Amino acid sequence: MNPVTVDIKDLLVEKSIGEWGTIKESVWGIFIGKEPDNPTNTITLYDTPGVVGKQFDNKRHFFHSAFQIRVRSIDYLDSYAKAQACIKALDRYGKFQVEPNTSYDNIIMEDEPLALPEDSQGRTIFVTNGIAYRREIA
Amino acid sequence: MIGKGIRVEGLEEVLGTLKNQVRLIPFRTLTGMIAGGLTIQRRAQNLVPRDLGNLRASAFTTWSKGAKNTAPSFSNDHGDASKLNKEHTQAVAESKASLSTNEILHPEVEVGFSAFYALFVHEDMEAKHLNGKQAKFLQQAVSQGMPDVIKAIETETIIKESD
Repeated sequence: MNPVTVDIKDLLVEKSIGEWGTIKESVWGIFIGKEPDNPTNTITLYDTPGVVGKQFDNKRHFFHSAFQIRVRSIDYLDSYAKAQACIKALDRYGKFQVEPNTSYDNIIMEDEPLALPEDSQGRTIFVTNGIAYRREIA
Repeated sequence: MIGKGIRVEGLEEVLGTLKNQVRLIPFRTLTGMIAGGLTIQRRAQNLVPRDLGNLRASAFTTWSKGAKNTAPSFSNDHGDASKLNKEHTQAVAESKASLSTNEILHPEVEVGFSAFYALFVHEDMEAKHLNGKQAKFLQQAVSQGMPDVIKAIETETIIKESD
């Protein structure tokens, strides 16, 4: 089973929200776990504390896997719009499967974008949080 | 024991005690939730990044008719003590007012941090902190402390022989 951020990254790439790991300034780069200094426009995903439980058969686990999306840009409105685009792309995504053994029941985005203080280069930052409801399959 | 039948004496007394116990369970659910909330609060306070300790001190646990940590002591090294005190009182009051007053049918407990910068510290995953301190301190405490909360509620709602 992947960290939830890996699967979320794939969904955002598939929806053309950004490009994975790019340093091109012309597009939004998507990263996991660490926000790089460049490019300027970034979408960074973090695995955050979630919940693990066991299904009724007491063998396979289910997960409420939490994640955060952090959007950075020079322009306040661009950051906000991109954060909203991420929410729209993911919220209530519905069922899907990821090889080899993960079944997603849904993704719920929990909150509106929150503006954090600007970074040391004056770039604006918005964060938003979500939960993926997923389980192991045989 | 009489003949082939079995007669248990004192059954009415036992049933009476049981009824009283069952009647008390809803009240004890809230007691257990408060104990669980305080466990979450302590866990979160252990994870909170520390500078002057004001964020840590601003933690609170509330239910509709009560609260813990209503008058914390804030450091004034940055000149914020008065603001923090005022906002703590306000946050606790607002939290209590937002919770259900039906403590039997809808027991509710809330754990929070009143410092005005708490949300930014909680949500900034890129900020550097000392070992053992982190962003998402409350979320982590809830995530890891759930078994403690369930245990606290179970402990309070279990039917006790001594009662």
